[in-house]
Amino acid sequence: MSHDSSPGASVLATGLVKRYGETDALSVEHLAVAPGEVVGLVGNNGAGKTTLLRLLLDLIRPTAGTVAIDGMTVGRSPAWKMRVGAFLDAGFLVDYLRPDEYLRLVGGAYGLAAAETDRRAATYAAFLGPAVAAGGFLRDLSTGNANKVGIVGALLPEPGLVVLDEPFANLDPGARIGLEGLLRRERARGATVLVSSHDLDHVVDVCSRVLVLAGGRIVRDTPSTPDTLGELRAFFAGGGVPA
Amino acid sequence: MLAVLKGLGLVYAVATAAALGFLLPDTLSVWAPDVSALDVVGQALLPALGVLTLGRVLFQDVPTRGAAAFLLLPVDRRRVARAVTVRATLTVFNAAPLAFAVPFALRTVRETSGVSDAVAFVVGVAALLAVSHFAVVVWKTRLGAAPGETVAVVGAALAGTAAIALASGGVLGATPALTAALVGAVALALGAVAHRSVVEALYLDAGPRQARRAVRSGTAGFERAGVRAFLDLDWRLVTRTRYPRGIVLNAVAMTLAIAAYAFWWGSEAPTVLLLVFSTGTVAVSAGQFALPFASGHYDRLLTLPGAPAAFVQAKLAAAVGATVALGALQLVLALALAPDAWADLAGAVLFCVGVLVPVAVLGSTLAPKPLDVADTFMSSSRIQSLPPQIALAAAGAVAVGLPLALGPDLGRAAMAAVGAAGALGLPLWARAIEARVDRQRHAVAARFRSDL
Repeated sequence: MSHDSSPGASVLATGLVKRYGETDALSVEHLAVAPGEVVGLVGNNGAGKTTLLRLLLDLIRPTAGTVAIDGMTVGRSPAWKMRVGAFLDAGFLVDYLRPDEYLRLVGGAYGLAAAETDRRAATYAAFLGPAVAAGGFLRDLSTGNANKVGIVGALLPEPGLVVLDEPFANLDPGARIGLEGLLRRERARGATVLVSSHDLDHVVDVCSRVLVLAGGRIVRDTPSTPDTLGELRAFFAGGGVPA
Repeated sequence: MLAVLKGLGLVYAVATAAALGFLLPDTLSVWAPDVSALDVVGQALLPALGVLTLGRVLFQDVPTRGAAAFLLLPVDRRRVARAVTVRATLTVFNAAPLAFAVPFALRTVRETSGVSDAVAFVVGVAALLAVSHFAVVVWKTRLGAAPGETVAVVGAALAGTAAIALASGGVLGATPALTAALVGAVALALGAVAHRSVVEALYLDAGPRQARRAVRSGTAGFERAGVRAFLDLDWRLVTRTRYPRGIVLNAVAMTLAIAAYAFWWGSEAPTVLLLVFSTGTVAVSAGQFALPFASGHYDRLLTLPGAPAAFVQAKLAAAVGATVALGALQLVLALALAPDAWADLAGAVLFCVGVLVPVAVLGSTLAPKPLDVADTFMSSSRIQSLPPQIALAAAGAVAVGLPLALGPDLGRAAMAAVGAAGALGLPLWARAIEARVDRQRHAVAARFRSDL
């Protein structure tokens, strides 16, 4: 699968810059993600991972540049949103809903009937676990359990592009393993996945391609191979900035 | 429980307004036969709208509250903005005045001036409400991000509306249809601005436009342990975080607006009482939010030895400092507009410092979930629940009761005396609040352990 085949790219960012005051939080000249790729974003804190994902999702506005998803320019029309399922953090949940109600809200937004949403949600029951199934309000769930609901909300509509920001954070060991399985399922389904994480093992395990960010720039773009984990460890052991 | 009470309050307010709108001529014929209902409403409309707008600023939610969840769903941002703007209109501040206006128009205006004027009256009132509503939406969504622009837009819209109403005689004047049309045009324009403001506010980076100032090094706090360190952290929180800054700006604006009203126009209410509620805006909001805002950020720091005492003292000091600073600003207004009012101002500030500030800080520890923050300030039911509301209402009742019971002069002296006593007792307040905070932190920790 080619990394830079822009035509037909699922995600295409061009000249993307986000500046806060005098600081360049992100500067990406060109990023193309082909359909079906599972791309991991890694980098130190403040490297620009979340900024990049927020720009791709039109949650913040770029200082310069454009993002296109499936050929549709983000921000111009909302049509691209139907192709994307995303979860960033628990702040994006509706905290006064119960998990099943939230998932039905998400399903409804993507045009799924309640019965179909419930059927799909049932396939995530093992990942969600008993604490979520107990049906309390989202605001009363632990961060990890709330994140599980958000992750399922992103996957449940079976979108063409899945965007997850540090989904492994706060999850218990079982759920981390479960999430690996879910991401492999997405890969098998042919979905394009963008996932940021500090967990190099999970990223290398699950992703087909790894992007390394440092100082708001993509400093490494590499396919995930058996050697990748060692290379990344060596890179971050040296401070996580290019030599 | 509180939701039910609020619902009942809404129904009561709407029903009362509707009854008043229908029965106002009858009521006046009994109590003041020489006074025309149309004159009363015509004269009261603009002042009432001013009070209503102030009430909205104090109590109406930020419209974008809870909207972030929808930004990740396949919903157009503009649609989300429209939805939250419409949701924000469903408030007692719109429902009650309309409930008054419709029966008043159907009966009184129609009988006196005909159907077309009655329709114009209702449309005009709706337009005035829309101006007030959209002004507050713009104010609440953009004040923190673009203060100058926001004050200019809201000020121009309100001033323009007042000018139209005064020049044309209002929606009960000689040309009610024209007035309604002109105010409606202002409302539509402001509605468009409000919609754009909400769309802007739905971007996660909708912050101040000016460049961030470089961080001064060497003042990071804990090399100077204790109260000063917490004050230092609070200052950074307020100056660098949009939401607390919005609350502070809101409180300052309200304080000065009410004070200017008290000094300039006067009122049948004692000046000292108006000033208590003016200065109290800062005292109560600073007091109520001091602990909830800070504790979420500083929870870990509170485990340091001696930190809880320093923390509480810093909160009280900040709230008292903010109140006194606003008092100084009000004094400038007083000297410019009503120099004789300085004694009223002194009494009000003393009462706020000695009573409202400690009651508000203590009250914030009475809520079941004190480490949470809501988007409204002053009696915010979401965080404060019933006990803190009762505590503040009791303090407010003292403020209202003293001048009413003892007269303006004695009442002012009594308020100053009560305030001075409370201010002298601030160390005792601090210890009581510290004990509450300590007990609550242990209760929260125990609840957390039991959930594991």
